[in-house]
Amino acid sequence: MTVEHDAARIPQGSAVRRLTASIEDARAGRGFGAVVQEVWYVAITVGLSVLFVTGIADSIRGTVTARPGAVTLTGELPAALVVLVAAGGLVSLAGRMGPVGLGGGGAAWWLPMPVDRRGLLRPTVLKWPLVSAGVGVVVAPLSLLLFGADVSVAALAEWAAVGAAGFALLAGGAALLQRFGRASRMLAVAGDLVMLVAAVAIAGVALTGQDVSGWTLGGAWPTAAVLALGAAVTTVLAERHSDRLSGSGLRDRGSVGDRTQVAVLSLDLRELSGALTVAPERVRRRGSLRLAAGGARRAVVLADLVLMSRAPRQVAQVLVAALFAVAAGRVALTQSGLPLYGVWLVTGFWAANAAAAGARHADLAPVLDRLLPLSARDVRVARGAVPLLAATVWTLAAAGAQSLSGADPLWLALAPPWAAVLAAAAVRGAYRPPPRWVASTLASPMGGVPPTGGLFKGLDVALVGTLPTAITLYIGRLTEPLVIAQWVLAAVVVTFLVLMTGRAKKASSGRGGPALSRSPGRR
Amino acid sequence: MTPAPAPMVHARRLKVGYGGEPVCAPVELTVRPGEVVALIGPNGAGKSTVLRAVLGLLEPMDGELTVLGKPVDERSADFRARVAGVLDDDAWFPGLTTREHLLLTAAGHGVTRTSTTVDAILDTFGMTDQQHVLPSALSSGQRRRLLLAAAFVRPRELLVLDEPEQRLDTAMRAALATLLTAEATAGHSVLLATHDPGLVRALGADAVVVDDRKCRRVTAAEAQVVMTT
Repeated sequence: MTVEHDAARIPQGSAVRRLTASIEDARAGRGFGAVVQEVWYVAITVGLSVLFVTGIADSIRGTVTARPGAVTLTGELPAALVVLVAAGGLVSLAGRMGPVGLGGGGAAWWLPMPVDRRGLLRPTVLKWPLVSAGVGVVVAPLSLLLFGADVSVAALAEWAAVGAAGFALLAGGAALLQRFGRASRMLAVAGDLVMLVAAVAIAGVALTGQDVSGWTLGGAWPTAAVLALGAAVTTVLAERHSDRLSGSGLRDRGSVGDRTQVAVLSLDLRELSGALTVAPERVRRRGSLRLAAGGARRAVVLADLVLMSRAPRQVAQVLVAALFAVAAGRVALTQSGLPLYGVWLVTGFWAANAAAAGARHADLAPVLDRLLPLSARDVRVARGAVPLLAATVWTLAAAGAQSLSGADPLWLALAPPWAAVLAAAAVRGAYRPPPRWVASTLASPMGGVPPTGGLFKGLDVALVGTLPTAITLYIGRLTEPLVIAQWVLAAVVVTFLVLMTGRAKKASSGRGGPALSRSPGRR
Repeated sequence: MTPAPAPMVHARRLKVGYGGEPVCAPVELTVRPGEVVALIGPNGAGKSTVLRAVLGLLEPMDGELTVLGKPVDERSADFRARVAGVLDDDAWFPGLTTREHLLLTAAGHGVTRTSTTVDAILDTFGMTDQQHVLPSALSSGQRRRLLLAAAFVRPRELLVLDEPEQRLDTAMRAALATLLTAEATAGHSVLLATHDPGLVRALGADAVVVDDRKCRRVTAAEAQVVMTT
């Protein structure tokens, strides 16, 4: 079947893009009003978030009474380090997502056409620098507000300008480097390293107690101008060279983008982590361990340990979390009370979660656990061992530092129950049903989100299981009855979760997973 | 004596794989104009990976691979204009109907008389009744038909198909064999991966057995034996 065609009639990529969009918009009834409504939604959401964060920071500042020796983190340096963490995150994300990618219909139906890719990709290339500039406008002045009580409008404007131009430059640079294959992978790693170094630097400033309030961001406007010029040049060059981006690369990055978007919309951190994991460029052959020696439980624990040892990022995550827990106890803003509890809760859960990769993999691919001669409950308990180890490292650091600063060794007595609760929370967070998109969704500024509470599963256990510690920090005095209450509550929570494991899965439909109470090995 | 026409696809000691690991033995493959060649082999043998390399969606690890007489460069508009591929993609524009997807494809390739061409293709693939339906409302077999229709609604010199028989009913498989035979008669080349001995028999196509020991070319009759044992 021959098709008559004329090469001169092949349209521009931009015409194909506009034609597709016009048909889709017409069918969906989208118009200019919908765009205005979406922009309005975003502006209102960002504005409310900024007010919320600055309000909390102000109220904490107003209530905190600094202990002798507490470090007051104020000034532009800590704010700059926070911006650096965000910049590292942006670079890391840009490296993982392309930043230029084309998923879904665009990948399948546009990319095989002999039209110019530059026209097809123009909005995608421009989107990253523009969105990044928007992020910079919010993040940079917000960081300054968090670390300074009296910030002038002029200073906020300077930081907003530098943040917008700097973030746009990073995104434009990432888009420009994308055509050099491996550069994106290196960007992802570089972004991770920048985040790590900046985070450690913040903790370092807090731990050393050095007075950094005198440091200022000099020459902000000239800096912003240079950065903006760089952003414009890199973005224009990236757009000009987008014809040289490979179809396979665009498809891969597009699928990462699509998966990330779904994970964000469904508030699923586990899926988000999976979407943004960089696959190894080369499969490294590693020696296999004799996991079976010592029984099935030992094999599960050893397998999880091996998994963690092969992921330096997760080990670093545990150590950084511990460092932050220690540093928080030194900073006036978070040295006591509910702010300290908040930092402990988040960093402790983060540390235990880093070590729960084995459990997360097991939930996503349950077939291996089914082959084990263990009941599902036993498998899940065994999967808690490595998170327990990580949580122990974190709790010893947090409680040890608190014990030293207050000269009260009783704090160390809180470490074991905290570790048990955090490990149980991490395992609970790892084993969970996928978002139920068929159920009624909850309205949000981002659209409908599934009512699974995926973001909070696991964190809820950590919150409930550590209430006595929260009370201790709130009243500012550690007593023996509260320590005993913490031990008892931890025992109750962990036992409850272990006993409920089989029941919860029995009640759910046959999604499988290792958590059926009968022995999977006897099927 | 007339010299043999230059091959549309030529692979010599072609190694393909992922993460630095080859998925099959080095491939020797030649597809000439007007020829249909099938890649056969068990699941996971590497057939689809070879096709991805031919379409420029995967960088070969080693060896030589030329398509249309040049090293594969999918970024070239000329390559995309002359090579059509149908892999296992299952992605759509959610707001475009079956007909609009085909119209878009035809327009994007500079097809003249797009509406008439799309009508004919819809009829050939038995999709006329579903032309105003969104892909999300099609069955998986109908979506497969749409993907195949998109490869035929545009000009091409080389057609690369990954298991085109998937999810098709018996009548459509027979119609597909007829279409592919007509493709070869028109001087176009077809390279397909398949598990269907009936399709290979109907096409009378030579086949390349892809496996992890040694890739070898066999006749259509020999392919029947390989595929049924």
